[in-house]
Amino acid sequence: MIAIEKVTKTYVSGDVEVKALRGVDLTIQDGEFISIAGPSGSGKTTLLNLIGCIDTLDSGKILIDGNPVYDLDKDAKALFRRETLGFIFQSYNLIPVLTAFENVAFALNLLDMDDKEIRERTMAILAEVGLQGMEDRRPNKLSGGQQQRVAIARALVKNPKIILADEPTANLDSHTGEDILKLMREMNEKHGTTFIFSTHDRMVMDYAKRLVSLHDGLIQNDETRS
Amino acid sequence: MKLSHIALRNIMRNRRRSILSGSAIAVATMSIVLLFGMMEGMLDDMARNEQRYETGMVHILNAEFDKYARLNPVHLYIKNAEETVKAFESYPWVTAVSERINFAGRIYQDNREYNVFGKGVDFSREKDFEKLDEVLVAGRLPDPGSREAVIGVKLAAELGIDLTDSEPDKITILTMKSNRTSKHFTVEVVGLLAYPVSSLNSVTLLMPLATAQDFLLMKDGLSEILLMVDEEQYNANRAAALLRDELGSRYPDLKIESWLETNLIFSMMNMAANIYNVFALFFFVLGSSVIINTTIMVIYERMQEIGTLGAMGMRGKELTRLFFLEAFFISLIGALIGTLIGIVIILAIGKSGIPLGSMMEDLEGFSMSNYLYLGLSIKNTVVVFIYSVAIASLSTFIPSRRASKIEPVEALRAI
Repeated sequence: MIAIEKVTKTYVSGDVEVKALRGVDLTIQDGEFISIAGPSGSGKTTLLNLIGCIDTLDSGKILIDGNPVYDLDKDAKALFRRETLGFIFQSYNLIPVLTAFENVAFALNLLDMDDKEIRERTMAILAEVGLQGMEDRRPNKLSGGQQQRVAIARALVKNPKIILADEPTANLDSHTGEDILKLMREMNEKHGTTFIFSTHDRMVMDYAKRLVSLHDGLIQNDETRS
Repeated sequence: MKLSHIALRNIMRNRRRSILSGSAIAVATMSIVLLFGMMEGMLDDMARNEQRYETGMVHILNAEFDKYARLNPVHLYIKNAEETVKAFESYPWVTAVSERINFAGRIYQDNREYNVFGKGVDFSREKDFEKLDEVLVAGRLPDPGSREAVIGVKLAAELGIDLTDSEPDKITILTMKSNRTSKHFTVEVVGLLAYPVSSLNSVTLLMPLATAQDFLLMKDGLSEILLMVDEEQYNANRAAALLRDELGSRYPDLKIESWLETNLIFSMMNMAANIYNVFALFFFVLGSSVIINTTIMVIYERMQEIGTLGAMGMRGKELTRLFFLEAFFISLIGALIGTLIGIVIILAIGKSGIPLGSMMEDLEGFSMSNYLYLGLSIKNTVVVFIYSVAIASLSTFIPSRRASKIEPVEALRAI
């Protein structure tokens, strides 16, 4: 469970202070498929970054399974991310010199798994996301949709507790974007992994089982869908 | 997928830049290998010439000789030479002995005068000691006890002696005897010597030891005794020290020195060689500046990748290692190529030598050959290689560390 309590975050951009989050309270249960929606500048990416322990909050608390992750030092946060979190980015962010297989396997390399297990798990997850036969292709030989599938496989392969996806379909056409959302939801249901994704796309919001709307750094609406 | 594999692949992302960085290191390494090779060759050559023609590895002479050396003190010689030589020769690690009588003289011909540095030598020993077969370019060596001589090719040319005509080529030398009175004597030139040290060819005259002793009134006397020693057992300094300890009191009138103690120029050059280490450091830092720049650029360009890797859970020190490994591999490959090219150049031209032309002709007391030889020292080459890789890698450590200081969230925002 993720418990977010009165979290604030202010950025300084040049001489201007930007209040990205103004005291957000939110609880996310394990296995949820939740969308953080809102217009640009609403604070959705900031909230994702704080949950993902790649940014530091100004005040408040973020507890994951009761652990005060906001309080960890830099290395401990890195290890926490390595073991517990998976990230999916808008621009896929694959390592260009690695093949699809290697990009996915690298997440397991960081966990010091043995080669045989890495191979089995990587091949299995690539088949699950529909990339069987494309394991040896480098990112530049894959379409945008295929690259995002590799990114999803990379996030999922280590069986993380939570996957954070920042506008995962923003760089894809609507058809491919829908495929990706279907895949994410399928993975959420199959593996029970918590998916938290940000978006400002109505179609993407429709796929969420829970929709949290942010506006000017505050939660405006929180609805659970059937 | 290990970090080293990713680092190796990253090197190929911008081949031209990697090649440029590696080339800078290769050029720096090659230059240092050649510089050290040149120094090694020069010192080897000087040591060989000095030992063969000037002092041997251990030099024994009258203790007073050096004090009056400028006055041609032929009277300050080693007495009871036969017994003295036997005493020094009795050590099993003494591998060769040269008995010499030295004298300065003048030749007057056609209203011109020519300086001569004469040596009376036992040709049966000297042949091996000076490797005379290598330098005898015309004629033959003098017979023992004869009034014959061999002279340097330049001196012969100036005197118009070429040994091609049937007439005997005779020269008369004016010199000083051991009783400090002047003496002139005539010898027949039967052979010509072309020494690798140019200055020797203009003045050298070798004649039989007994004849020189006779002319200079030095019966059973020698100007100097030169020893070669087995370096596997004793180096020159240790051998000289040992001989001083064991024979010094028996021969209090003699000075026993190693060639290194005698030859200040060589010792200074040896010291100067250490300065080359400083030059090497500058070269390496200069060569490394390109790879430092590359590492800074690479980190800047791959900012988003650093953010991604950080988000995936890579720690700062692992990110540092990734970029450090890239620089290390480029340095390693560059240094290896530079070292190999350096070795190939040394092997290709080192033995035949680079002609120095007339540059060395007037350098008296500087026993360098007319050719600059390059010497390959495995130890030096390995040190240069390691030194090169170490400096290039270490100098990229600081920019590599920058990768660990970048916050993932900032890196992910980068375009």
